[in-house]
Amino acid sequence: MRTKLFSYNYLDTPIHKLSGLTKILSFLLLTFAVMFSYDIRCITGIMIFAFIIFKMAKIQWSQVKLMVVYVIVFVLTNAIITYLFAPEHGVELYGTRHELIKIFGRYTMTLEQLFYQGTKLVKYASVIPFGIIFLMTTNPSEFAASLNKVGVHYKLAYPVSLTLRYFPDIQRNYQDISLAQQARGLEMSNKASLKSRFKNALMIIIPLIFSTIDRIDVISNAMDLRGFGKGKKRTWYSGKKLAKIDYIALGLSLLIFMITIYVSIFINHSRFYNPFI
Amino acid sequence: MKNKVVVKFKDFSFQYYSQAEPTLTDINIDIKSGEKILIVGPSGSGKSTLGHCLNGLIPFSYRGIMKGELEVGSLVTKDHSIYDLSKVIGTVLQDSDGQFVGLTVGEDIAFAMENDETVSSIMHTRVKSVSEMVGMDQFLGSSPFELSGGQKQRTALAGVMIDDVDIILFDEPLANLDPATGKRAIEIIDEIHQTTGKTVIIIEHRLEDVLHCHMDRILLINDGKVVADMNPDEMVSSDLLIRYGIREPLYATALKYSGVKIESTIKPGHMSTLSLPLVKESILSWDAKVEYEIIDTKHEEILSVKHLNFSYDGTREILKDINFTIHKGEMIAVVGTNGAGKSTIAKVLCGFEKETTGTINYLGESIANLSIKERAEIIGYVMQNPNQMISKNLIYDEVALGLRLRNISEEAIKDKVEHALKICGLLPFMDWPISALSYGQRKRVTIAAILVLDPKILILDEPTAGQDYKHYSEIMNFLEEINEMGITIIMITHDMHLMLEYTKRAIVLSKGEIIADASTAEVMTDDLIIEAANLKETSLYTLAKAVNIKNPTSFVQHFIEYERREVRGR
Amino acid sequence: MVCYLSNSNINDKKNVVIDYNHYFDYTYMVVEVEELVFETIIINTQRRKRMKKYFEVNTKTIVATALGAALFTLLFMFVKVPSPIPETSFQTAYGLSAFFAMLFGPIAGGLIAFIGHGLSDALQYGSPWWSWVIASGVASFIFGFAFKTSKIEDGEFVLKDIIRFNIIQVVGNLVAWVVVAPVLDILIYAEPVNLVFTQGIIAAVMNIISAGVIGTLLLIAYSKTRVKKGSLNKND
Repeated sequence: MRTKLFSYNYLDTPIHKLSGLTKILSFLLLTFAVMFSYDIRCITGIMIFAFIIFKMAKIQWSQVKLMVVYVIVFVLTNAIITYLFAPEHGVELYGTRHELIKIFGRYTMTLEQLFYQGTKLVKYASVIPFGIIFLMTTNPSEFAASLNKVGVHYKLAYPVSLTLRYFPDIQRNYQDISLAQQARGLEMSNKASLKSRFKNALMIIIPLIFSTIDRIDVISNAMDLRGFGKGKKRTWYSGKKLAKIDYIALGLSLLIFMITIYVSIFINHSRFYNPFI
Repeated sequence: MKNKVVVKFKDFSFQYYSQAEPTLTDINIDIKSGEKILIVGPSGSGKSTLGHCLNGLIPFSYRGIMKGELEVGSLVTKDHSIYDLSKVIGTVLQDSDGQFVGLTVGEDIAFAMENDETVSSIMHTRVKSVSEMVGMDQFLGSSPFELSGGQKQRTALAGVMIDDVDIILFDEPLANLDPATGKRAIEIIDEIHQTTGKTVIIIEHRLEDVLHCHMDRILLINDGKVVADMNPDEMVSSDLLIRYGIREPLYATALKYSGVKIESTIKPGHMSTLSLPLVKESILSWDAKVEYEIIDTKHEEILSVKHLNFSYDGTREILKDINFTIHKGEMIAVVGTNGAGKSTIAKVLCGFEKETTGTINYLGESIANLSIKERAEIIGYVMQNPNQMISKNLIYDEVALGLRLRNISEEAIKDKVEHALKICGLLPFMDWPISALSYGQRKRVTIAAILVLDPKILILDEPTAGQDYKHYSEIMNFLEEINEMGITIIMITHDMHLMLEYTKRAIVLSKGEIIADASTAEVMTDDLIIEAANLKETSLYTLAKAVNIKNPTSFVQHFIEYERREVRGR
Repeated sequence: MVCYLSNSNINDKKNVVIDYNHYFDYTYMVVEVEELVFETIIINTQRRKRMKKYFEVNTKTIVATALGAALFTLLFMFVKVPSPIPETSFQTAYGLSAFFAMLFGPIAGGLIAFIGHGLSDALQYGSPWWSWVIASGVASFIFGFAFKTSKIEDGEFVLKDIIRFNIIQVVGNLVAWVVVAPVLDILIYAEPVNLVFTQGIIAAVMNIISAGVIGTLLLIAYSKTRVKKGSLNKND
């Protein structure tokens, strides 16, 4: 049974050494750059950067295999649906039309559409590694502290830390409840009518939620008794001080971010790089 | 500083808004600096409310009408916030999982300092030194789910000591601990008390376990009033404990059975102070006199487990070569430390987990191919917390649920449900919402909801956890009645009283293996088993050894039989 | 000094009515003016003003948010009700966030869905799909606007409340899935317009059903757990 939410393990790599604050800022800068830009040259550059970092963080394939499968399924479904819904989206975006083949009806494949969907694919391929790196190399204890340092009020940041703390408890509860209800005869199959599917789900959800609600008072009392929420600020035991390597990482992320924005605004004059004009 | 009054209740009373009657009335208590006080009382006596008043949760979190004065430290509680009070009095709560809010031990200990905006370097130094005091310095990076209950509680203790409070309040510190860990917790509290001289207040109903170490005074609370304020010797000598539903120490019960008049002069407050020469003769002659023939009528085998192995991941064995046989109509205890495999055995028996190898036979036939649902009709499983099973609003619907999911006709369901409710003494409440029931009644509802499927064997996980003596007795007498109707009962427990009073046989697990399968008296008087299963020596055994009874195990057996036959009339 | 735990006697001129409008105990206190009224209510002077506010965040809200988000993550990943349309399912998690939003307000509701959805995306895909995570947050934030008028803590959740809850729930889902999510999809991911709106409408319908069915049933079940003992008789 998996009790840890993330397979975070400390390894001696430069990426693990970075403070949570650096990682959260770099993550935001880099993903924003990727989300903003539709310039395949910039994004490919960032993707290569992402894979280098991935390698540096010594993340094992076995740790991320399942995630990658999910992502591939998601990305492929998305690509197919996008094409089915909007085969001419590329043409709309780039303003030209280079038809490659006719499939049937309104479905033709254009160079523009291929380019648009290809760019989108590269976008996913570069965002996902950053997410995985962030999850796998950041000590969960630093999450809330880092969020607080980037300006999120601690009363909004602290629930994140508490969520991570109590998720394993709730997961264990869920497993126990689910088994006990199955013993009473619960089956979550597709055979039942829709009405009884909802009813069956409630057989697990109600005891799970109501026994969790019972704990709110206990935990909030425990926190009040130790002075939570009395000040406008709070400090963090697990916050790390920024070291030289943090400034290097931050500088690099900022540079990539600026280049991407610069290319979009001053070279492409648009979020899109248009090779067709 | 010594003898300065640090807690003063003067004509104090409190009434919750949601209650029609005051929960506390006419409370007058003085507690002096450096004292070690035990507050006992049955459930609902107001002892927890008293704790809430001390640490400021009343009036901060619970609203109501407060009259009279309460000073803690030099603060009048109604004029100060919970935050001011937290610098004077620290609270270690019963639910150490609820109190553990950090992701690691270090963070959790530092929690109060974080809220005080202390700089990181000071926090790390202070956390290091406080964690050393409670022996948690090697675990600063550990997550709560890697820790035992005792370690979590020590973390909680460090978390309140970090504020250098003058008074430490323990709210039912033993409720979630196994006997050995509970004993150790009381010793740690004693150590902290002796080395730091802090005032210690313990709220607990498990009197004997707390009296393992010295206590200055015991306050007995009943119905919102202080009914006694005595030292342990006087308290154990009085009849107040029995009158107010607190279990007296077992050795004291044994002394009474043997005809000793319990008075302060024999120092009965702690087993360690008891004046042995004054009681020795009576005990020896009682032990010699009492003789019971143990009738061992073995019924047919109902369940037999052979060479059972289980592993989640194929490498680490959780259960190793488990063999045991249970006979029809038995009531047995499965004991062992956390992680010894107790719950896993239950899960495998119920079909929640699939054994790796081995056989489970019911009445001689393998049940390997039965689904979870089918097994439930043979082996019923009752979870520890009834709230984790209840999903309906009305008692009737909750009990009927398992039958409805089996597509049985409503008429047949009605008969079966009414029958199950009748057994559980809930028939008059059939149309009540479950929310109106007490914890013990809810427990009965969940048992009824399992019994309605007509299982032959019932497995209960910690059936009496967190219950006071009265509720404990209610639940256990009820289970005994069901047992007498012919249902075989297996209880996963670490309650030694339960084992002693209600089960004749115990299976002891350690690290996934059965290390003992014997009579309760034998298990509870074997030092090696006691150690391996995190039990502790019962004071009966200690007493027997102290007065040099030749066969202390048979003394314990005599006590059990005497109590069962003469006192409870079974 | 007499205290009544009911709202009778309000007509009596001698009585002062204090409305304790806070979180868990909605009791109307009637305190006779004679004698030392103020001594009894002194401890409540600072709390009396604490009405149910939409945007107040206290420790309890924070803990509720955290546990709610953990539950949301779990339900979002594991507890789905298969729908009649193949390859789709109802997310019971939105019933949960609607329920918590009703009990603890919009901030808790919004954060529960935002954190919960973000976390489960991160666990499953490595990175959150931001436009939908934000939309989840917006929907559940809006669900919280049923919070202030609710008296569910007293066990009061009648047809009128059910209707109000469901109107707010439908509005929240429509805003989130038909406006916020598609617009963000277009802005952030430059997705085709007809695709994102179609997806949005399907999501809105599915989530309206989830939040409506699961949320309403949870609220009814919860309100019933708040019934006082007085009204019950044994069934002989």
